[in-house]
Amino acid sequence: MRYYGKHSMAGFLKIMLDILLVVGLGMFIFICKNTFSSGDFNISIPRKIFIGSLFFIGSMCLMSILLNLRKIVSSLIIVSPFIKQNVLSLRNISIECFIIALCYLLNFLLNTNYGKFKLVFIDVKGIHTDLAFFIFFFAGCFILILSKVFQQAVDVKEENDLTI
Amino acid sequence: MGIIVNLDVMMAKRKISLSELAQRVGITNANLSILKNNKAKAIRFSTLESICRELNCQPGDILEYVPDEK
Repeated sequence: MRYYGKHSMAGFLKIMLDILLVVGLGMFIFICKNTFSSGDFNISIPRKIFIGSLFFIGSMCLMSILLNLRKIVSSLIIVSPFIKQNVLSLRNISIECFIIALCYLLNFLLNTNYGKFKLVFIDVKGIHTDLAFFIFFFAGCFILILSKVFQQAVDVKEENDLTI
Repeated sequence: MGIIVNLDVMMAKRKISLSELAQRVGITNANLSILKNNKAKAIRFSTLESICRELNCQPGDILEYVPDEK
């Protein structure tokens, strides 16, 4: 199986990311319309605004992550991954992961059921975790390191390209 | 300043064009242009040997060291 270039896993991944972007946007609009504008969500206005802001910021960051991933995958399709744009994309993805982790943390702090925090729990609906904050935080750290590694690769490639 | 490439001077002395020299040396016009315009980061010995052979000169005729101004 080919992993990059035309008609490869990278091409398939790009199609999946396009579908995810469209579906994600649709879900965001659907949730906003059905949850925040309906009368069933009985909480105070300030808390509604706070939760809505967290949801909006988190969703926009997720969309941005998908867009940046799409840019990276596009460079894989043309078999030119070591470019400055990919370094910036990876750095942006790491920042967005940290923002999402912060949103999860603020959401946890707002919801004062600290005693009910569980790392992993299983119930009739399946396996669940409250570890989302840690997942995004560590993902952000790793992707930030990856962006620095990519920067080195770009520097080495440039040096090689300018060696006659 | 660092290392200066005086390829254009030697090319003018030997009356050879960029494209002809690139063809004889076996590199692209673009790469030779990068070398001529001091944009190259490094040069392989094999390339330097080919250029000196085609221009009938020494490496010192093409490469010059100029100390950096501080």
